[in-house]
Amino acid sequence: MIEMSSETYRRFLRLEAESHPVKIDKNMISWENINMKIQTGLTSPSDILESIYLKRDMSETVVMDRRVASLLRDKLAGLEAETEHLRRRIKFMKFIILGLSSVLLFMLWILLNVLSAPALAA
Amino acid sequence: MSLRSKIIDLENEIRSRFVGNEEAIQIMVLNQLHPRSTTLIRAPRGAGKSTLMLLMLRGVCGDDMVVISGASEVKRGEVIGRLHIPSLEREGVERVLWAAFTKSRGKGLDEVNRLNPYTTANIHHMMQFGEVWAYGQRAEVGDYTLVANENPTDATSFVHPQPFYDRFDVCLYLNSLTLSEKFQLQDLLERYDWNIVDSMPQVISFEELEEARREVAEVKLDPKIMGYINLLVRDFQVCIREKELSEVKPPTLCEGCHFIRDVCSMIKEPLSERATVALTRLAKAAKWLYGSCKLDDIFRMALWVLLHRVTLVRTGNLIDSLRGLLERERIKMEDRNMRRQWALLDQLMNGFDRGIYKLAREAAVEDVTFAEELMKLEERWVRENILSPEELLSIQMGWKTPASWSLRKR
Repeated sequence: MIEMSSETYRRFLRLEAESHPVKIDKNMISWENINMKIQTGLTSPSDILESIYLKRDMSETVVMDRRVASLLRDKLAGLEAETEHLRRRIKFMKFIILGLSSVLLFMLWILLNVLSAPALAA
Repeated sequence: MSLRSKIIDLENEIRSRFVGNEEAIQIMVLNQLHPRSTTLIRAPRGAGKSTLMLLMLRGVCGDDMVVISGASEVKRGEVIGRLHIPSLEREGVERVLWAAFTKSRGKGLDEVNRLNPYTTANIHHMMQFGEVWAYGQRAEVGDYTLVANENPTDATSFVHPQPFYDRFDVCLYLNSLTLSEKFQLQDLLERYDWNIVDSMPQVISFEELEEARREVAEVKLDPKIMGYINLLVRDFQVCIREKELSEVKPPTLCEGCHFIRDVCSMIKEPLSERATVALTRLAKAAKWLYGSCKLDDIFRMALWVLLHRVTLVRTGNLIDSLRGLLERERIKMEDRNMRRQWALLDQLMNGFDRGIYKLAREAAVEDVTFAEELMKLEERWVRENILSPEELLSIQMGWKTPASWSLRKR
């Protein structure tokens, strides 16, 4: 047994282990995921993450707990930042394409001039 | 009347004279319940920071208070002590007359950001050691309540060092008043004849406050609450690349780091251990006053303990940014419970089991704080020849050279 410097730390771990226990059988370690249970009724959070990630049907009204809402808000903020980044990149690429097209047209015009010059001279 | 009732009365008396900012008032009252309490109020001009400071000092100290107005001209003699010239001239003895600020139990520092660095250093020493020095003489400062305020956007500010601000237990930001609150303020001003501060009674004697402080110190917190306080502070400190010792700071330091999207990468300067002390004291005070202190209370109080102690990588609105980080931290704590991390660690404390160790390693690669604890156990297992050094999480992830390597080399 490993000795611990703080008894309170040990008690914290023990209490956490009691409230979120693991089952240890001979060859298997398992636990029941309370948050994954399907819950119904408006006062308890419905599993919105399952509907998003596992494409399961959503009920008419969706209730989510603060943890899930924060997770979604964080993801949305990340997506918005990414969208803004991509929008800027698209704008930049449009300018590049416009510039390159102009250069290409200009070169074509020069080429046509060069090709048509001997004909005119003849 | 019991001490608890008096403290609740104090809160009510302040609330009846100060409009809005209910949470700030509640935290300020809770923060009075430990010895040598220090509170910093930050707000733009005219938001009521001086009024709130005076209301609190009057409520707990009555007339036994001194307020120093911050100005670069304020000298040590006015704040700490000055030489008694007649004694020096007649007897050749250096006698120090200690300033009223030093002797009073209620100490106020108005616009602390305007105090010159020399005077600030003397106050810093008083807050740190509970004593003052002048002309080679020392005076012990008894228990007190110190409330300071400042306007962080004030152009005439001195930039005081971070350790000075760290000595303040909490930092309260005040909001400006909403439309309806402005009407409330006008009603209040008329009710108290335009002098709100003078109408504030001394609700509790300082001796009673000291008694309440002793009782709060005796309060025992639930190990779970203690654990969550320590976890919260550790998550705001931890860095696998040891940012507290590194000259390169985030975000540069975080480039290529495994934990780049974690809370740690959002924090430039980590918290000091005083954050744990301040949060523990607030939790004890809440338990003493209201009978319980839950995890939600800890997160609510943490905002005011961390605001002046943490430097974030990106800050638009400091309060909103910190609230967002605390929200993420809350999710992280839930995730830890879902992964049964503490149950696994508890099992590993009782003895090594390869199956549990494997699960714990999987959790550790996503959680630095947990990884630290697991790595400590790993080092012990290496010494006991249960694990080989090559198997260590720290070696495989390239995080840190564990002490076991250096022990082996020796």
